[in-house]
Amino acid sequence: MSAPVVAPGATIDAHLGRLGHALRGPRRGFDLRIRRGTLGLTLLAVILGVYLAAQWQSRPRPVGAAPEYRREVAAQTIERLEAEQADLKRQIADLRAQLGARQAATAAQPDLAELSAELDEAKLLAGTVAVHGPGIRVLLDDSAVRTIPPKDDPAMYIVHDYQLRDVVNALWAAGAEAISINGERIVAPTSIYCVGSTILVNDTRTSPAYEFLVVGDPARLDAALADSANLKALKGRVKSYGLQFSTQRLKDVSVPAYVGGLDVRHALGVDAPSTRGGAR
Amino acid sequence: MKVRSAQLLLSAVCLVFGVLLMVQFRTQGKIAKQLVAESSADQAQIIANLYDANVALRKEVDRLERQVRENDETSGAARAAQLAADLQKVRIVNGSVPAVGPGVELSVDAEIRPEDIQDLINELRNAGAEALALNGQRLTVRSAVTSDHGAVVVNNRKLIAPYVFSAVGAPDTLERALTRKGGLVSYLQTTYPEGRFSVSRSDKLTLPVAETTSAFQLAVPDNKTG
Repeated sequence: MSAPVVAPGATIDAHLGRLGHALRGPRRGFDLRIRRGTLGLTLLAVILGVYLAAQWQSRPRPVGAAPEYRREVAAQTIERLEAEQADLKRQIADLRAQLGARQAATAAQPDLAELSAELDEAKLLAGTVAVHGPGIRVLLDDSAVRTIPPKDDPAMYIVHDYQLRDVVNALWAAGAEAISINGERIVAPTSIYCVGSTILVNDTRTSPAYEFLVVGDPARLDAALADSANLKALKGRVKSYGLQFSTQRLKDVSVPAYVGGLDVRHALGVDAPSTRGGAR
Repeated sequence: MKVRSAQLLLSAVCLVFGVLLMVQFRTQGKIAKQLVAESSADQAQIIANLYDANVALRKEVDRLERQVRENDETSGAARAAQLAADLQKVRIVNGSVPAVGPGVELSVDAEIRPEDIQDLINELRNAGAEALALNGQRLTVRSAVTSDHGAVVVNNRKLIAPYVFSAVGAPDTLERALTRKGGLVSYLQTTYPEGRFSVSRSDKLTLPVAETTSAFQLAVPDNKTG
């Protein structure tokens, strides 16, 4: 597919040079000018034609009208479900804020103050509260390479779900306290998986570039990601296929709250000895 | 006059070429993505997942609405009970209390890599595990899987095979996720043909409290409500 692009480009340069000469040239007779003008226009039309044709050919060919239509319908369904998902998340955020306000009021009751404070602390750790603090911003994006050599596997040039998991794992290992990927907070029930080439985080579709916002010790996090012993596979792809991976230390990073259910229907908690009737 | 119109023409030509070149380049740049674009089967899978996710989110909305209503209607004692129940739930998620419940155990007797363990944990979370432990160690969101001279390290402790994952959650869903054809476990079985992988259901698993659930040192809440 790269051949038609390069070849006309080369010819065009040559033509352009010649056209430039004609235009810049010394005064000529009237007839000659018209002839040259027509010639120039003709050349221009030919070149444009070639270009348009090249453009046309490089467009992906639809497999057939019917599958294309089905894909369109499916894409619309996905959009509708995503709009619904965004709306439900807004409702959850709103309800959690309402409940939080009420529970804060409850905390004014002396007998409930301790319980309420413990709940606040637990929610903070669980990730249902937005946090900020020092940290880093990590960017991971598909390769910037324009054309893939025919022998190469295109999958090597794009970011995969396991690479996001590897980065998250390396960040936790380096003492990260809060992480989000493209606005999705990483919490205990979070899974990062792919369907085809689409990566889902918290069952929400994401697309490159992937932006990690991380609260933690900036120097330690940055050093861990830079350490050649970590993320070897990912760094190999960066080197060989041009995946884009960069970090930036920040004085203050805001990591959003998790907006989804914390589904606990089967597990029962066993009271840890220290939780109630504390020593205070 | 002549010169100016010629210049104009040349500028116009350059502009058109510029635009065309740009378009051409962009088209080329997107090829990588098009080659791996969502197929119809992928779209169907995404729709199914989104549908399930929305059902779960709607349940959470209903639950929160009920909770807000109850909070308004009930007295102090009932509110205390609600707070305590909420707290217990969040602590289960955090691993700061032991968790008991039905679920599955996955035993892996093979020298799998830390990445495989990471992926298995991800798979169990994806299947709806509510609480997880590995070789008797409770896993939290911040549990990292690393390696030390070839040994798998989780929560700063070296582990040795067999790796036993205990997951509390809906046993059917968990078992199905682990045993499905083309799933991660079957893939690992192919990768480690000598390895022994087994999944067993349990009516009652008891997972210990996490060894480290340290409070945040650097992250501060944006506000007190949440």
